[in-house]
Amino acid sequence: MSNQNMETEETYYSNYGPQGGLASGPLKLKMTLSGERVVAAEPDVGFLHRGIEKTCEKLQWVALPSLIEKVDYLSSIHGTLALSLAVEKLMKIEISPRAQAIRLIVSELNRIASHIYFLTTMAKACGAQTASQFFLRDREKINNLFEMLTGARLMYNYVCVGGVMSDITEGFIEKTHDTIKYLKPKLKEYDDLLFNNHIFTNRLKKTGILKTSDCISHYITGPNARASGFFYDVRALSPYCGYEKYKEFLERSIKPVTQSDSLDRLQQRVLEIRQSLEILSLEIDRVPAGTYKEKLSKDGKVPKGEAYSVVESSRGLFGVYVCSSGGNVAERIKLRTPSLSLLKVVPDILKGNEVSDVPGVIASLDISVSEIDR
Amino acid sequence: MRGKKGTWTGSSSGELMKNLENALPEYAVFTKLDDIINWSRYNSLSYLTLDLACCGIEMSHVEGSRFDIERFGSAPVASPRHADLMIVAGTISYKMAPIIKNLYDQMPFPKYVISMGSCSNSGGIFNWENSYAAVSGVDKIIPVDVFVPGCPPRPEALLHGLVSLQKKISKQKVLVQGVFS
Amino acid sequence: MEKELFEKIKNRFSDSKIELLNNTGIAKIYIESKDIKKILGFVSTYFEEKPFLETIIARDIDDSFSVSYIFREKTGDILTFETETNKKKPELDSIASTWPGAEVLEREIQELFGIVFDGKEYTSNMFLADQWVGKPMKKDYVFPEDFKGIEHRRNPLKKEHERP
Repeated sequence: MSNQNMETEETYYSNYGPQGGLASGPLKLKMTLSGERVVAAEPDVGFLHRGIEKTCEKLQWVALPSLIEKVDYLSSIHGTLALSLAVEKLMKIEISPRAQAIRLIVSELNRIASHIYFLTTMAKACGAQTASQFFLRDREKINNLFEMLTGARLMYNYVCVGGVMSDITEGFIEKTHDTIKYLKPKLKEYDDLLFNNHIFTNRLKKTGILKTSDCISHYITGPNARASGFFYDVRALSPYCGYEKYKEFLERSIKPVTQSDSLDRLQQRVLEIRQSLEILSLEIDRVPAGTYKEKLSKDGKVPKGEAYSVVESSRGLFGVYVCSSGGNVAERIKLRTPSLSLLKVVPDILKGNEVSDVPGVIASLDISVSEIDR
Repeated sequence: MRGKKGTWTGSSSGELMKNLENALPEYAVFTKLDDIINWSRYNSLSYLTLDLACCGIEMSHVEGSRFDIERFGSAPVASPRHADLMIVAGTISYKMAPIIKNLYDQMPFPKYVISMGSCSNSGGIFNWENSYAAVSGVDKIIPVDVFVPGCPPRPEALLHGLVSLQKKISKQKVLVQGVFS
Repeated sequence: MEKELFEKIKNRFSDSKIELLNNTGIAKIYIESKDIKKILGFVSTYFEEKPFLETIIARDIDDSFSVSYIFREKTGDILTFETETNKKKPELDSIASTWPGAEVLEREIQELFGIVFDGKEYTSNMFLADQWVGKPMKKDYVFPEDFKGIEHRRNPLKKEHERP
């Protein structure tokens, strides 16, 4: 029966619409199918285009961090950190060691929270609804920590030019120790829920293959590339904010493989949660004394010039370019986001898979649509 | 009972009264029947998730076990043909506006809309002064029942909005409408 | 690192105008718009491995557009090249045959600024809605009054949509 289908080769068109899909945001796929197999898939973006780069030329410098947070809302600390590093290069300020240590702690907490939300979406895409309840329960513990330190659960508004907005409150360090002690045995529970469950792993094996040569020619970075054998980590190559001591620790995760499927990318992110917990438990004990924010002049102007700085966010390499003409308002701001380079590779990844595998593959790539559209 | 097209309570009381005239005596007035119909409607609202941007993260936290929305009788569905309630969370762009109108037209009567977050209330930080590509508020396209403010609103604020919608539904007049007019 | 590369390029292409500027905070090499394919083709073969293309930035200065290319080498350093093109007929050569990631970036610049790469104009929009009028990122762009029946301004005292 399947031989007859292959001989006629009739194809039909189907839609994976902007609403109800399992990327985080509206993403449309125009698929050409033949039987159950995908022959071609073309992504259509632009449903969340809000004009952020033009809005940056109307607001003052002080209001910019609250706008850049909304570009990638799951890793908002990394976005504002990249903007602050670029503006500090222009103003030629030195940051105190206490502020750098606090920035490192908060970045690693944000990375753990983003990867746990990835696990929730992945479980819902493959039908494991019970597992997603367990992951949401653990993400609430990290939200409690952030609420104690900054006052908010999702849009923190914490990292600013000159340092951080407020000092560590009392009781924060003990509560972080308790959270790390709570989360470490939970990773074994995730193994039982996901990886020792052969019904779940058989759905994901050998689907959505990404090769190392594609990563190098299209410059794909982040956990997607590290699972496929292309090791690129900004924290190890050009360190910032105190990451110099962890260079050998991060380079231990180099893998000699040539391609990766959906299950490998899932395992890579669970490994990164483990790495971040190790770094946190070493850093939280040795925060040096000092000031948390430098004193700046009160007129809110930035001197004339250009600067460019990069940061490792939870999806890859995030860069911010800043151009100032000496006034209250910015002249040009350009954002380099990691999900934009994935757009040309998605048709090659989806080709040859079946229709029922498409939600699992799209969820395992961790595409953030607001990064592509800006 | 097939209702007239366009009335949002889902029934035209004139036709209902004509159907019930022959069955019951003239002096019977149906106030308790209204209460029963409204009670069964507001305790089983299944909602369609329009998860566009940052507010969608707080909407999926509401389905977790800490802030539970299933104790109010609501559960998420994926298709608009099965939904009673639409929660619009996130910024609307001009490219997405015809799709939202299409989804609203596909929902069957009676239907309700909650607008969640600053961007869908009135544009928020992307309003008509600042940005060229975002619609200043979702009520330029579809009628809205409850507005929930915040950027993003806490999950408890969304549950408060749901309880206010339940109070609004309990005061609707379904059958009594035509009697005293 | 840039001084070495700058000397090599100046010796090889001695009849074109090439400068090294360092007065704004980023060190860049300024080249003419007709030499893009020659010089960037030489850069892709000069190092042991081809450098990565990180981003393409377009800016609206008073009488012209300025386009910058940022590359990253294997060691982690960045290289910046900058060109200019005039506003009346903005045209540039495309580098998408050597670096495949440049296609999406060039398409975005064509939609928002109006610069045409390799003479090829796309008919359908990627980011903006269909039938959008004007190029939004230019400095003299005026926000639209309404778009397909939806008014852009919002009056807080007026009730927008009545229930049927």
